[in-house]
Amino acid sequence: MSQLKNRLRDVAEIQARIFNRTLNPTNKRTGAKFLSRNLRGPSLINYYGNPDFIKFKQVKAIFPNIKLIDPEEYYRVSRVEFKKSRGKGAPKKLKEAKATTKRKK
Amino acid sequence: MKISFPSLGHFRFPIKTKLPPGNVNARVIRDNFKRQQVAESEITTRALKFIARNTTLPARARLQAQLQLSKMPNYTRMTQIRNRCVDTGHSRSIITAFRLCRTQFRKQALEGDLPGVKKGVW
Amino acid sequence: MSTKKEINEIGKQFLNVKWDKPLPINVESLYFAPLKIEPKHHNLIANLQLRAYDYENLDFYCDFILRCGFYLGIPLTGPKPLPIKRERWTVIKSPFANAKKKENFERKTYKRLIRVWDTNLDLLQFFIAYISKYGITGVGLKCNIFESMSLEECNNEIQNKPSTSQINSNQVDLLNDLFTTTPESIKIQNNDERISLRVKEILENPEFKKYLK
Repeated sequence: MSQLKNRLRDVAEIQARIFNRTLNPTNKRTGAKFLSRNLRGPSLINYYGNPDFIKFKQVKAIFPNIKLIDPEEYYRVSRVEFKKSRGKGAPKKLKEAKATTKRKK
Repeated sequence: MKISFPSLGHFRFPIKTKLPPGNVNARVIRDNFKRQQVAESEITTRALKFIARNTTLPARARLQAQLQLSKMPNYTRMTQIRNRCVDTGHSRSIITAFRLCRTQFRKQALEGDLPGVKKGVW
Repeated sequence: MSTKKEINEIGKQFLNVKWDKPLPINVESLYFAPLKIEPKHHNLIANLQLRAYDYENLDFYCDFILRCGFYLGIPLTGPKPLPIKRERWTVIKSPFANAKKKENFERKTYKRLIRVWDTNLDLLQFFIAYISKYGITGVGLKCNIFESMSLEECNNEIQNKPSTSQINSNQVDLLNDLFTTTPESIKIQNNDERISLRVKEILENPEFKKYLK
């Protein structure tokens, strides 16, 4: 029985040598998994997208002669104007006199 | 790891990070910051973990590595990262394949913005 | 999916039409299932895997690839339909509350496999460049190329330039230097050199070195 065990060990040794594998007959904890595992960082970084992705502002700066319209911004501005026309725009800023009376209270 | 505090203006995180494109809210910015930091410090974390978990090294060295690991700031830990919806910043019930929360996923799938996704009938 | 028989039926219908002039034979062949060259030596050169969410464009593109292959003299087999990948998601229908009402979504990925036999590597590259130039929307193409060499060539290559395994063994040496003092030096494998370099950096730090004794 022990002979067989020894032979198996020899085979494992040769196998490790040929294929450049790790031989760890006593099953010691070497922490090798922290070295051999792939790094996860590169896949985490761009979860929310590439921060250097070109923005509309930059495109506009590249072509100053062409009148470019950002559809989202255009929609937003048109909504604001529509609301203003119905009298539902943003409230006007408080004047100083009013502000001071509020503080006194 | 040394943390330097250069003049950041009113930036609220210890290390200046670029803002992600698209919809951004406070929690998305925070998570994005952690992601960048985790990725940056990953090699150090791995090296320290390797030393700490390696039983062939002297116990004092391993303890020292573990102490250094615990000294690292929270934002360098993988567990601090949470997948968030790219469009809304919502953190719950994210569909990982699309990085969207369930409401955005349903909306965009029904509009046909997600290629190949159809109403399932089986 | 239209079978070979069906395509040939359509072809026959087209041929029944009386054309003013006789059709060139390669135009006529377009109305039939693509011709193929039988592989002679059965030496597998590459696997082309095509994927799409819809099979209409996919089958059309497969047809195109087979025809290209025939006129380039490349023996191709396929398209072999591979198992459909189904991804399913169940989400709550309402944005708030009413969690019992759910909605199902599904995405099917259709796959086709075309195998390339007995071909020169240069020709294969030309072939891939050509078919990817005329790629169709919504169809992805993945190509696995198998290269083979004789043992002598292999030996020469190993001697001439350091292979990846040798680079790895250098790294292992780098780490094993550190562990000669430890009771049982165990070979350590790693993929990323940067981690082992950082380990070395940390262990060689004078503050850390005193703990290593």
